Order: sequence, then C-alpha cells, then structure tokens
Amino acid sequence: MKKIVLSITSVLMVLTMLAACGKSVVTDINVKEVYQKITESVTMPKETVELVADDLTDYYGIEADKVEDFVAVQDACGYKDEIVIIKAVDDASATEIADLLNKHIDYQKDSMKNYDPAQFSILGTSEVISNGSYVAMFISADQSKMADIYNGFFK
Amino acid sequence: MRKYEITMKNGKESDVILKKLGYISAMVAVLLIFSTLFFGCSSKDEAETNETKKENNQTVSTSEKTTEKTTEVTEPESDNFFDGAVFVGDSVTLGLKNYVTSERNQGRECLGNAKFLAEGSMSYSNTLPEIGAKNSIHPRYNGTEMHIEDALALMNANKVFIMLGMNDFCIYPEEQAMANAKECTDRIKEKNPDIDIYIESVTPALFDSGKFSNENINKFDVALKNFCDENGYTYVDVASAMKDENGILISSYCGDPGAKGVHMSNIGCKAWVDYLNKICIEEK
Repeated sequence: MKKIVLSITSVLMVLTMLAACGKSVVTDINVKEVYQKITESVTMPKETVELVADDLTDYYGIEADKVEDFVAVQDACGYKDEIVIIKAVDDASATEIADLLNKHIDYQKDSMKNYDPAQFSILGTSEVISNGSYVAMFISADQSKMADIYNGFFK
Repeated sequence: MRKYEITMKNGKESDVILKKLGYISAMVAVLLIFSTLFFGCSSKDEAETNETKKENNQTVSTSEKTTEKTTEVTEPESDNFFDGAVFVGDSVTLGLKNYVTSERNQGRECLGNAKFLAEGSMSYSNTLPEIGAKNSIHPRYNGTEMHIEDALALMNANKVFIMLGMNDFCIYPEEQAMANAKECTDRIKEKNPDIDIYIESVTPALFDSGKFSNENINKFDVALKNFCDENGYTYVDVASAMKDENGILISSYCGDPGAKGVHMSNIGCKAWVDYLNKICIEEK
C-alpha cells in the first residue's frame, strides 16, 4: 500500500510539474517599454516617423480594431528601417497581423531587389516574431539585436 | 484469552485503518500543494501594473524624444486645395508621405487630407503589367496591391500628383519612358474621368551616379513638361525648389547623402510642401 501511494504521488508530482512548465509564462508586456529599450541599445535613424492607429491600416493593412496597443516607427526616408511591436486584442488577431507583416516584408523584398541590394539583403533576414497575442517585426541592420531585446521581455 | 485476542485484533485493525488514513491524507496534501503551485504559476497577474491600456492617445516623435499627446488627432476640417488629392510616386514620395504623416500626427495641418500611393522603385513602366507579374511594382491601398487607377477610384481622388520617372529614364530610352507615362496616365483618366492630373518633375540628386545624373534628370523633366503641354496636364516643377546654384540637390534637403543622394530630409520635404502650397494655392 505504501509503495502504491508513493508511486501514485510521484507520478502526480511529475505530471503537475510538466503541465505547469508547459503553460505560457507570458505576462503583460508594455510595448512602449520594449521600444524604449531598443532605442537605448541601437543606433536609430536620424529622422523617424511614428505611426498612429489609422496609419497601421494605410501602411500595413492592419485594422485598428485588432490592435490593443502598439508602437510602429519607420525611418523617415521612407523605405529603410521599420520597427513594429503590436499587442493584438487576441491570439487570432495576432495571427492575422503576423500574416500581414510577413506579406509586407515579401512586398518590400520585391521592391528592393533591383533598387537597393543592401536593403534587399537586410529584408532577407527580417522576420516576424509571434508570442501569443504579441507580434513584432524588425527591418534594420540591427534587427538581431532588436529581436533579442524584444524576446528578452518574454523570458 | 479470547477477549485479549479480540482486543488485539481490533487494535491491529485500528492501526491499519489509521495508517491508510494517514497515507490518503498525505496524498491529498501533496495534491493540494501542487495544485496551488500549478494554478498560481500559470495564472496571469490580475493587477496588470505594467500593461498599457488601449488608448486614444497619439504618440509622436521626430528625431527627438518621444512625447505623448492626450488628444486624438483627427484630419483637419478645412477646404484645402489638397483635400481629395493623392500623391503617387516612388521612394522619394514615400519620404514625403512619412513627413506629412509626422506633421499631421503632431497636430499640424499639412497638404489637407491628401493621401499617398507610394512604393520604393515604382516607375511609369513597372506599374503597367498585371498584378503579380515579374518585376512589376504596384502601390498598396490598405495593404492590398492594385493598379494606380483602381486605387485612385477607391480613394475617390479628385486630383493626382504623380512623381515618377526616376526609375524609368535610367532603364528605358526617353521615348519608351514617355510612352509608358502616357499609358499610365491614360489608364488613370479612363478609370477616373473627372480627376485632375498634375505631373511633378523628378527632383535633383546630390551627386551623379552613372546614368542617374542631374543632366539626365533635367532632360527627362523637359520631356515631362512637353508631355503635360501635349496632354493638358499641369506640370509642377518641384525640382526648381530643390536645386542649389549649381543645379544639384540642396545638401540640407538630402536625407541620404551617404547612400543614393536622392531622398529628402524633413527639411527637404518641408520645402517641397511649401512649394506645393505656393504654386497650387497662393499663386492661383
């Protein structure tokens, strides 16, 4: 009996720990804090433009009602660096937003292929990062560093 | 003896029962502890002290520190000449779009409620093929790629300002480039019969780079002016407001002096907007 009880208890402990570890530990992230940390860590373009909600539709086709909070900044020049960090209203919206941002990267690649090989190369390693309801896109020579900073908020 | 045996037997039974109860209690206790840990670790923090709530505040920035506004920016209600206008162009116009966006987001009126259809490397020539054709570039309206004329119709544009050609004359002979410009504007007019077409000159460069030289830019701009005269379009000589005494882009107007030397800085875009206001509004 003792052995049976100990065995069952051990199995339950292991199962519980595994289930707890498998669950997401994402807490609420302040997207503006993430952006602030990025700007403190990399060299930003000399002139930038920060987009408002309506601009997300204009620039990326993202509907404002799918977005709970966001930061979206572009190099004022027009076709260079872009930083987009979005908290979607739910995971389904986040998936849609990620698709749109991936399409944006593909579109930009087509535009830059013959026009600006250096920018085309940067776009080649750009990616959209999804964490639950959070989505981020970094197009920059410093995109790896930006991604590391962003991912650090989810550990 | 029997009484003793019964007592002993009952005692042993009690011991067994007690032991079983003990084991069960221990198991329940362990389950409770791990349940508490499990649900405690996986539940979100209800306080949400770090979350920024969805807000209608506008966050704006130029090259300076970001500040937050507390009022919602709406498009200015005015009877502005540029209301209903759409600016079509390549990456140079993308820069203008970003400048205008920044100005409006900071509450400053800028080109009425004019909108933009601008994409890097777009030209009169590469925007003609079908959507998805190889090497074609089409503007996006709310994220969807479409022909210029179709986007203008959806946007209910009453005027279109076109600055294209920078990515034409380096690739095609002038005659072919102008034929493509005519095809492009004919399609716009066919789909949008009441639209007024304004052709903006290609702006100067900070330095020459192979075929892309200020001399060739000037030649193309002359061809554009002739094209406008022949087709009844308005020629807007933006380039005249951007050149220094040597005929090259004013250095402070250049936003990429270390790269292509053709894109505008915020100062350059301001000069561009000032020129448009002067020509289209003040001198009318």
